[in-house]
Amino acid sequence: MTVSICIDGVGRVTGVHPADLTGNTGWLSVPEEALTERTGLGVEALAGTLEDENGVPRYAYRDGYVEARTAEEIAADTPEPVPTPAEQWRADVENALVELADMIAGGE
Amino acid sequence: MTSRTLGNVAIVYRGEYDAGSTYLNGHVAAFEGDTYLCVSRTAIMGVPPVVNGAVEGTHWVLSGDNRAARAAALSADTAAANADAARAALEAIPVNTAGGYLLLDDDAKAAEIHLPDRLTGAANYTLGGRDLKAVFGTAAALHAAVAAGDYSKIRIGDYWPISLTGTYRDYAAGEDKTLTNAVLKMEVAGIDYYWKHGDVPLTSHHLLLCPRDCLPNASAMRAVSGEWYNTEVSTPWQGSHLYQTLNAADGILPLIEATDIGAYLFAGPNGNGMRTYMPIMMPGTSTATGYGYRDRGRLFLPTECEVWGLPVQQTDVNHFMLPGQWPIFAGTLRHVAKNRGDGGYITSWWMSTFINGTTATRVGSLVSPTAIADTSAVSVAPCFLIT
Repeated sequence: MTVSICIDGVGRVTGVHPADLTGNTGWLSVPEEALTERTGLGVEALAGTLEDENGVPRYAYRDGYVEARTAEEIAADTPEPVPTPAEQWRADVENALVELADMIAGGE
Repeated sequence: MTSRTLGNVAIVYRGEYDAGSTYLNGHVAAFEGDTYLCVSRTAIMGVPPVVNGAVEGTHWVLSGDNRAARAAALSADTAAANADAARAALEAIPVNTAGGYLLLDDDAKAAEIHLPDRLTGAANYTLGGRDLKAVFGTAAALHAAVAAGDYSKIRIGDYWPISLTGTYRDYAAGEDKTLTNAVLKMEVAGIDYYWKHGDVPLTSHHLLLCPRDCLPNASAMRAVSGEWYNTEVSTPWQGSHLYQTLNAADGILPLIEATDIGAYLFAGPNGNGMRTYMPIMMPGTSTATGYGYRDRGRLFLPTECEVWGLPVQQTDVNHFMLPGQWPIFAGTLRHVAKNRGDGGYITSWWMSTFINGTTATRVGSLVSPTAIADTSAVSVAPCFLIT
């Protein structure tokens, strides 16, 4: 049985589809074993974990197989965390206090 | 003979017979020294138990130890027949399914009783929906019904399938991408949802369509975090690369316009789709400075409010956008959960709400509201109006 997987420009797996989607950019058809051999996951289980909580792909397509990316690879793709409104407010207040302290120290 | 288990059936003593009262099967009334059991299949009023000195017989029988009368009152078949009659009477009440209102008389003026969608069939969103092509046959026929405001055959969750083939420019990726028979089942997400909304009010009857699943290709919101494709506009959505990917002359728009339903896309007063309320936020900034009506794009994405019914990641009031949840997303996550490619597996997909200058919102692949860097490759569910 074959399935379709979508690969981005650097080989990260960004999509899985049970039908043949070849012809759509990035999609190629592979035997189901190419997904399960190195991940140990069935197609549906793998499809549900394609990306982590930050939206970073967990798997890469290498040498004809889908395999888990390393923690370092994932960390390199992980964006800076988004501050919550409370954290942003705290940072803004702290910055304002620092500026105020500088002004006082500088005699402005 | 059909038998049904009814549980306990009560005999109700109603006191002295009153010609102005309503009596039902099982009611007992006193009349001229005797008691009478009502055995009528329908409610009666003004029918006395005794007529011209004799028991009326059709609706009333003498009570007391009259076993035949008691048997008649308790008859399962009688009660079941009554239930069937009541059900038939209810089903005979005409229902204006478009508005979900009971029509209480021929003047159709008594529309105060609003039935839940699940009773009128006005929503199919908890089910798979119907293929409107099978209902209307042609896009022209669907359009004619919409233009006339005749929604008697259209329910939330029904869909019009389109198939996209061709090349489009992904402005964030800076490359051309190809779609081959990419199916989008464009579900009815709202009916006249934006009626009279906007600084140029939308007064055409319209369907709001949102695909059940996403395009097979993911796209980033922006090429470089915080970088706007179009700096001449004043909202981050309009200025994004993804807006361009959807709406440019070499974007996805012409592929959708080439479908049978494409001729009926709402162009809007400026040719760039409907007008809607958005936060005004300039390039290089992270805080909205105000709000205003802007062109949304003929192809657009739902905002966070329109998916979830309230702002979740977008908690800063400065980023206020039009509140209100699309009906298809109300009461169920079934249509919030989308796949990459029709019938594929679960994916995360963009909403058009920005949190700050570099972070946008999406529905995560765990079907929850999440924030993500604007350069992330996320699935896309292009929505549009037809009028």
